[in-house]
Amino acid sequence: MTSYADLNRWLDQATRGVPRRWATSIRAELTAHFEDTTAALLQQDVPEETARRRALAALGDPQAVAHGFNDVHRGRRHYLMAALAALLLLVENFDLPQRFLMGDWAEGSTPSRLFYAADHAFTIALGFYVVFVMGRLLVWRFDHSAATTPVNIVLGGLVAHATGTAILDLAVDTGSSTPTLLNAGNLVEGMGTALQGGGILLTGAGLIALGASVLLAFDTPGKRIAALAMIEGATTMLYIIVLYLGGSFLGVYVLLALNSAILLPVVGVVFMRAWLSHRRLPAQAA
Amino acid sequence: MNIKGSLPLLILHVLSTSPRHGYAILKEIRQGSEGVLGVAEGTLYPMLHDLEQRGLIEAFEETVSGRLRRCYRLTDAGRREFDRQAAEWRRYSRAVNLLLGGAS
Repeated sequence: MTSYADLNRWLDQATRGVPRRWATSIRAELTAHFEDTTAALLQQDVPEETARRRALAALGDPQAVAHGFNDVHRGRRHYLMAALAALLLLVENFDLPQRFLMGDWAEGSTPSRLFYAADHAFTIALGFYVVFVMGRLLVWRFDHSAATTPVNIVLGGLVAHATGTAILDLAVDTGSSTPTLLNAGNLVEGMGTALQGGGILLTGAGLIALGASVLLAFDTPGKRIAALAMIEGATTMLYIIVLYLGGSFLGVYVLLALNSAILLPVVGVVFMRAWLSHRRLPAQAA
Repeated sequence: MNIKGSLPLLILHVLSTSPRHGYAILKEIRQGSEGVLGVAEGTLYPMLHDLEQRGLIEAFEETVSGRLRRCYRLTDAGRREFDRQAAEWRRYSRAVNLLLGGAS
């Protein structure tokens, strides 16, 4: 039997993640809507149980409603912050923190290692946040729930990457050579390298999957971003393969150029537009 | 027919005639379109909150049939936006009609 308990379950799902100060009034608003629909059906001599069931069904998918409310009440702040994060990543791409903040420390000294460790962790954290909000934008704004799994793969890859990088920065004296699985000096260095490389590969694979899922679902502007994500993912994977097998830094420069010139500015603009948030009608988009 | 893409314009249109709460807005859209236009009803509310945050409509509380309801009315910015979007929609639909007319 459909009852207020069913409505409450629906409301719980529809307000999941929504800030509490909004959730209470949203619940009251949707409950009033449910009661109006039920009352209208009762006036048409629909049995009470059927009327309640139909009124609840008419409200639709609670997850889609939750996506909409999260986009409105939580999304904007994140979109602006993600645009700033993309800008900071651009700054990081040109090694500006290392040029202006790094002291006159000897390579391999403790301050130098700590600086690099913090710099790398900060950069990966920024990337993590940008990808996380991109996932929220796709799911909340565009109802593209299929983005959830590839985004989680990318985020998992970034966590592994960050862990491996921290091990290499803090626990291993790599000197001037780039550690690879082929020349790892000990178990710790091997673990750090494997985590870092595996994380990068996972991130690349996730980006390709994310790009493919968007490519299959969206219109032309979405496809451009998806294509960029796929190129980024493929380049990332190529980078790690070239670096580890050939010891070449060519992939790094390809990635930096791609990130600086195209991907990060585009991602920044996407977030700024999402923040300004003008839902366009089909006529306006034409 | 699902109208999610054009829902903001329809909401602004309904509110341009008089303030209403969410249920009354949907009822007006359904009746005004002779039952052709519809939407999963719960998705109306995020859209109303979005329009409110953009300053196109404003919410106020009113007692309707003995119950306190959250009602919405158009702001001046909302009226200007409605005029702009309605003109754009007419231009768009005229272009589609011309094309379909030419094809038949």
